[in-house]
Amino acid sequence: MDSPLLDQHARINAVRVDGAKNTRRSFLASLVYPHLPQSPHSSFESVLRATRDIGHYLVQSDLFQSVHARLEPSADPAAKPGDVDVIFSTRERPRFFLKTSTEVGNSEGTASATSRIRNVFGGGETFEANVSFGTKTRRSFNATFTAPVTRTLDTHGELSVFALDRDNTSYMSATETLRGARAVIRRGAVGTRAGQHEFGYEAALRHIGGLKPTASLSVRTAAGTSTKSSLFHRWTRDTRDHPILGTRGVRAQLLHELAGLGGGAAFYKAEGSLHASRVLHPGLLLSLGARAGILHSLSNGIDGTAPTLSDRFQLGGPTNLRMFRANSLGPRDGVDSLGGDLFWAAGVSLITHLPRKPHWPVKAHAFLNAGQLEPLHRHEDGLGSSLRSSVSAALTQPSVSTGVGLIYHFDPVRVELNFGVPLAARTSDGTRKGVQVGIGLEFL
Amino acid sequence: MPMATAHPLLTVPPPLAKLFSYFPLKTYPPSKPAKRPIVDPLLWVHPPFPSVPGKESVLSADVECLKWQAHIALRGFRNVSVRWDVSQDGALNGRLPNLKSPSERTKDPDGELIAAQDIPTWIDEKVGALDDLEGYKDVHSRDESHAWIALLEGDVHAALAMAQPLPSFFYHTVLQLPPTTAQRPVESILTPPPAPLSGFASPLPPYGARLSPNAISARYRDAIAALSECVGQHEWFLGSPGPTALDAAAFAYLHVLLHAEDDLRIEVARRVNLVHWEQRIHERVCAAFVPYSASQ
Repeated sequence: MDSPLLDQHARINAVRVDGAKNTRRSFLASLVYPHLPQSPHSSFESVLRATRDIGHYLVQSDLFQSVHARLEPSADPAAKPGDVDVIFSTRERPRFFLKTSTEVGNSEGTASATSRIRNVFGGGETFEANVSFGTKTRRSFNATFTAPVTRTLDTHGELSVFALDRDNTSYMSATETLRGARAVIRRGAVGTRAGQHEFGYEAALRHIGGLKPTASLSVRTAAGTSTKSSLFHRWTRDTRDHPILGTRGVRAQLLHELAGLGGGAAFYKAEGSLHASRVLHPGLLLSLGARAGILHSLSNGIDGTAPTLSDRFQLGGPTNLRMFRANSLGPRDGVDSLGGDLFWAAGVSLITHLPRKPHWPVKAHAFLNAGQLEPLHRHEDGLGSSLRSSVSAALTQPSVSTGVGLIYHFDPVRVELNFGVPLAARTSDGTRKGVQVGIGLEFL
Repeated sequence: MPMATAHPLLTVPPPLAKLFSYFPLKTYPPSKPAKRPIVDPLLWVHPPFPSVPGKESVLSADVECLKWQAHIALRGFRNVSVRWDVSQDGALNGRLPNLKSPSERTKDPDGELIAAQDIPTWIDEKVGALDDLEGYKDVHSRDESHAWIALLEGDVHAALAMAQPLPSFFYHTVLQLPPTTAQRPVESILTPPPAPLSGFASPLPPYGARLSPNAISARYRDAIAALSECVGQHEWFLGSPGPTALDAAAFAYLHVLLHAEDDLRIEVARRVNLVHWEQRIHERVCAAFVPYSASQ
């Protein structure tokens, strides 16, 4: 039904954003102008619609704690009857943020500091720096500058530099040093139907060193400095209503990486993951997860194996294949896990509330996990195995585990305490029988 | 006598341990990396000097690696493979060269890796140990050789170390990455060691080293002149009947110096006998090695 009030002639004479002290006028104008009614015969309805749209983008810019809109008759002496001023009363979010934290868990202790400057140049830019020191990730530094690149604020550009010193001696007898820079264009949002796309370029310098005296020859020949220059695309869609107790929606992610545009490493890497959960019965959820990846080296080392120890997949551990030690599947040389070029992992879990405590963030679950990690170029009796034989080996000889446990959802982190056993394993796999604790963001 | 054994803090109860012993219910063969069984000895060294593609030398540009290459070649080995794509980070104790050798002891198709200091033992096992004179003509020459080696590893090495480019500020200070080559500080090479920068009577803790480039350069020139006189027109240093450890060390330094910057190179190049001697040994050492890829 048409309302006479909405059809009444009205025109926006001015838009004012109060309280935006640190925001550039040109940035605000870029948000406002596209939504002003262009027709000379605009109505009150179109004024309200423009007000709603502008308000939406002001909120989406994430610069303001509160945005309230009101319409006032225009105070301009030259204003005509029906002219209104749209006034947004806003309150900007604090520009500076600093957080320090200490965390212990998952066999690692970490102390970190994070600082953030919001709206650096008044155009919705964010600068964030994080530094942390830990027992496994000994040093980590990350600085990121993000800025919107379109008026619709659904596309952002990001420049970042990162540094990482990681102690991999628990499974690789070596430490890994990583230095790099990344440029990313990010479009969309993870929670939307279309998902979020990220296109980026990464240049990284990797160093494998600090070898233990017991390091295998495979790790010794792969030690040293390597460079990587790669383009990547990541698509992520997460429409679940809850990461653990989801009743609908799916989380899907797909990553492609092409390295070899300069630098030492040359490979194509594709990795995908899928997670969904559904209600079987009130209080009983079925959770399904699957991951797979393939790495195809575009150059071979002198001894026939690609020298990309830093790029290969690792599998095993409480977050991806429970009841196996972290990164303990796939080819092993002595005590060292060398990683593989092809992997898959799948898991099914039944999750339920604790008896009489459905509101607790602690849930019980029973799980069955399976997966395998294989090299793509394997020499057996002098012959290199083909992709087909690697896929066949990965599928016909899966490592499988089962068990029960407790899940504690400490948003966004998930903590698990499991009791289980491996059902099937390679003799080279690192199995874990009994209790296993896991802390992470994403679990199988 | 009963031995004390360490008990873990928590032990698995026997019934549970028995239950665990049934798992995994199904086991598959282990996943092992692709390996080529090693047939001939393989030496890991620092890369050679840059050259025209297709005409790469098999001799390392690093004087420590080259010493061992010369030593192996002059002891009569042939067809020793050499590779320079392995970083020193992968070497035993972080120092190249390493020798990868087929091993009857470990029965590992990969062979065993031998650190530089154990190469003489490996050589003696393969071709037999030298006599007490170690290849020198007499005891006096053997003792004198120690002084010449000290001269090479002291005055000559110090000049060579001084001529090395400084580590990249961006690479080491900004990115905080480890050095690509292991270089001993010059002050640890010189005898006697130089005074600290802080001075002996300073209340500050000692730091740095008071190095005199002119003094190092003068000692280098004297050392090269003495080497030239020592070898004279002999086939081997100190008139030995055959190659010795001193010849291996001298060749390594002379070869690297002839590829060094002008100040160092000219001092050797102006002495014809040293250049001819280096060329003669160069052919002999090169003939002992084959690049790793070509040897497969």
